[in-house]
Amino acid sequence: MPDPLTSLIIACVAGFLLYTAFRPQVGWFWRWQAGRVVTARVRREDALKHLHHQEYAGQPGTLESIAGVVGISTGEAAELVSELIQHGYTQLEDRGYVLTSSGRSYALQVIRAHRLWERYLADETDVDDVEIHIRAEKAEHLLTPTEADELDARLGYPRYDPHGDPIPTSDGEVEEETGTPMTRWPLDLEGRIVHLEDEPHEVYKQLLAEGLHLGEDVRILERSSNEIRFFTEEREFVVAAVVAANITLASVPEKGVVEGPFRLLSDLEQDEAGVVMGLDDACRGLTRRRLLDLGFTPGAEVVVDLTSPFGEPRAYRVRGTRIALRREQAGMVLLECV
Amino acid sequence: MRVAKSGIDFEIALAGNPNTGKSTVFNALTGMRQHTGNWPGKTVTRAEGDYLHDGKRYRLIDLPGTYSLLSASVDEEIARDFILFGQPDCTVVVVDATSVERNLNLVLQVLEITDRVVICLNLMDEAKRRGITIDHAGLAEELGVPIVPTTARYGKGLNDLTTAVSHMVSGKTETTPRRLQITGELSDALDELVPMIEEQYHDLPNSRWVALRLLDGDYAVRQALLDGSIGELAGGNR
Amino acid sequence: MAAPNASHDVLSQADLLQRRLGADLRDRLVDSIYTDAGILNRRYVTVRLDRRRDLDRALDRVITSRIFGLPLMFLGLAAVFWVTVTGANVPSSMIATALFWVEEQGAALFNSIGIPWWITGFIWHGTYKGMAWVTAVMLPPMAIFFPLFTFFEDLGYLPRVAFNMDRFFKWAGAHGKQALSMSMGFGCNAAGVIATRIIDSPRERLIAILTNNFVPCNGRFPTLIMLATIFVGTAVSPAMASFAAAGTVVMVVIIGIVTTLLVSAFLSRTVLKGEASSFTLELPPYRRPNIGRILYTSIIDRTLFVLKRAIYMAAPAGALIWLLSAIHVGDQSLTVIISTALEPLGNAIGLDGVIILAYIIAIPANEIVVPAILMAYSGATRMVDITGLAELQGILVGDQGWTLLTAVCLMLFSLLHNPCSTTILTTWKETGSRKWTAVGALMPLAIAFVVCFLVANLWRLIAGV
Repeated sequence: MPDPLTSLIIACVAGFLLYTAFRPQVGWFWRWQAGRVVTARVRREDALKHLHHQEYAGQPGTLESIAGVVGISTGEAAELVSELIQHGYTQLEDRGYVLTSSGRSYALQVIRAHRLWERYLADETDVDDVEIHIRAEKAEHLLTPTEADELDARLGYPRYDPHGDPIPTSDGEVEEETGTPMTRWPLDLEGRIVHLEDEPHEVYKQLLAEGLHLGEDVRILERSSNEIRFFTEEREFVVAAVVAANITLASVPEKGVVEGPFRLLSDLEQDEAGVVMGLDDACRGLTRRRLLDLGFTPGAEVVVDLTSPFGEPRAYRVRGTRIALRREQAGMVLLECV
Repeated sequence: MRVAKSGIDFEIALAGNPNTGKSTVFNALTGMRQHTGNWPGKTVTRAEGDYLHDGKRYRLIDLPGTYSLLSASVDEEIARDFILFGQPDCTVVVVDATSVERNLNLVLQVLEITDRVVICLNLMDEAKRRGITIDHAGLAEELGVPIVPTTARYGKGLNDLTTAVSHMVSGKTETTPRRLQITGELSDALDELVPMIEEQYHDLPNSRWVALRLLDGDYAVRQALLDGSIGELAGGNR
Repeated sequence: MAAPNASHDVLSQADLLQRRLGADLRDRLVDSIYTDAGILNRRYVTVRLDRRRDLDRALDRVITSRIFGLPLMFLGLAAVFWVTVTGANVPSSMIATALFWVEEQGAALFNSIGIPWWITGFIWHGTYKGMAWVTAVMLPPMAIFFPLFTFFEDLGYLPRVAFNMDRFFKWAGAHGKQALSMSMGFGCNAAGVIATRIIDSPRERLIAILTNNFVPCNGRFPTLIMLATIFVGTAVSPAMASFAAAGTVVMVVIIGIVTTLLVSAFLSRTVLKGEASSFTLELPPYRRPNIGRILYTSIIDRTLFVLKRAIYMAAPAGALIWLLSAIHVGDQSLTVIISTALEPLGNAIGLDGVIILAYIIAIPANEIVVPAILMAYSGATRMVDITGLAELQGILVGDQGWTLLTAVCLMLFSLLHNPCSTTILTTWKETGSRKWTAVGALMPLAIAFVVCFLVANLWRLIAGV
């Protein structure tokens, strides 16, 4: 048996090596794992998705653009494309590669799987918005069309993914995207956010970090060539024009506008009472249904009854029972202003 | 869907919110004659037990405690599926007498699915201690199904409960279950959809509820409509 | 039977209407249900003066207060352990005396009618002794602990624990209801794993399953209580002994809770990534506990159930230990050979080879670890029976050279090491995944080795041993 000091030193070295290998996200092991999943199928489907995207933008794809998106060399891209042509998914036209009809329906299938999976993660799980996209990128290649149909039914045939993109139907129909980029939206007209583009990823993260979400109503105050100033129900924002281009607005429908000023349940003081006006639009899926089932419906009286030793969660008296909620959930419940 | 079990005369489902003393009612009625397992394919505990009343054998199935039946979770799906497709001879809903309002949420939903319901108003002693009085006769009339006040922990009212259940399964009790008050667009949509469903399944007792679930995108109900198992409900409605 | 086409018509019409109605159908539906419920409630339910609710609230204000909330919780836990420690001592040694007397008589009877020594040994000194040990060590603490625990459960205190602790679980990316499954884990980890069913989110449920083992179950409490009594209790004045012992056990439990939180946080930041999900917890009013039912549930459903299982596991383990010490290769018994081989490993983590051997034998059930250690020691040295803690201390400290470090490491190892076979099986059933079952079994083992290794070597380094 070596002396304690030696064994501790050996253990520290071993621990350090393990740490570098398994450190979250940047460890060798995780990098190796992330690199492993790229298979031929993934490449093929990513290429088709890219071509569909290009088609939407009115431009054909090139070997370079495919290589860039899929993350392979131009030589490999050429091989990939010849394989796609063999399967009858794409053909060469004068300006580049375009989808055939079977290629288009294949691409739509992948997109359908992607958006459905995003919808599922957003509604039924607690995965955060940035992670949702990363996970859907993987799931889109794994979900079979039958599984996608089942998921679709289970989710109640959602029409949009969490970013506001339309979900293609099983017959390959896809709704026209409506709305206007914020950069072209008229000043002083109230608009509702109908889409937050999730590509490029960095910009999307920024949008989320600002706390913007779908269904929020905004009004533009001022616009210059590189900046836009606008405000929502909650506060004022200033974003760069490139960022604003990723926000799509549409006119606010007649009904369903949030009526007047409100307070948040989480803002009440101990023992303060309030009357529920409704739930925040950002409150979706399981959380929304659970809050409804527990009686947080319009007109319900709530009182802050107990606060846990660390200020959170707090227990609220509602409909003769006591329900504890964390700050985030309580912040989803809107109260009438007295 | 319905499996005949030898030696069992009636099947009774036991539903209720969590924390209503539902398992106390279950234990008090079945005593040691119970066994537990899982619901098929789910990691949710399923408890069943038998009791005798007037020489008949009743099987009590303890459904998971839920706040609602609008299938937000596996538990709710199981409870809903059993009340709908398992077609128990009677569904007992255990209600916490100290928080009637919240518990009525579940009761009103169950009444929409089935009319063979007995409400067990439990924890009467707690309610009394808290100065809560409930006009249970009035409430029963309004809901259209019998209400039996109990204090299951001390065995009070359980005889009345088993009697009420036996009257229900033997058809002695007439019920006129209260239906949800639905107005506006939703009501118009139901008026459109319900006749379509009834045209296909003439005797479906809960066509309005089926329509509601379809409008809410309920997967299990859609499937049941497609594979025809909804139809068995119409035929099986004794 | 209706034509399938007609069903499709209904569905497409439903889809159409669904789109027209928009996404807030559920909101409107629940709203109308609650409106109706509110009307009925106002009409048929009257609330006079609600003194009870005020009392409840006053009580809850204290129990969840910033100052008293957590201290009250741990004080309550300490009180439960103290009652268990002081109450279990005497009955334990009485049961041991009685059962070992039976062993002697049985063995004497077998000898007198000429049954070969190895049959007598296998049956009485092996199988029977294992069962006797487990009964003596486990029955009294369980018969005291379970009713006390069930009392708090029946009262409605556990949701308050979840309420008080949720902030920590939120930090760890876990669900506050994990506190409830952990509470069940005090009784039995397998039961704790099943209790995680109350957590809706699959991710947070998995975290709760994988970390449930860090709550010492009833099978491990006797080990902790015994060690705390012998090594910590004797270090202070006799009057304080039981308090010190109970305090030590609470300390161990707190270490377990901290480990649970750290491991949960690690898991939810690496392999089980995700934000904390929605948390809703009902705090039901306090209910007057029904003493009869508490005794019934805790004695029949819990104590006897766990004891029965422990005895089933102890019988073959006892027989195995006897065989290991009876079979000699050369002039050494198998016990000596194996434990000598395991000695370096045991030494590295502050234990010894016999303890490691006992743990390997005790994989089916944690509760037989202490009996296995003692039987292995006594088998190796042909010791007489032990009926009191004083004698026990004599053997462990005097003959086997245990130190305070051994006790500390053994307590930590017992707290952290791999779950018993029943828990592993339950984990497999609940997760349906071999991968997570393996993680649930091996991760605690690795943590136990690392922690004990660090403690032992740091201790030796500082103490200069």
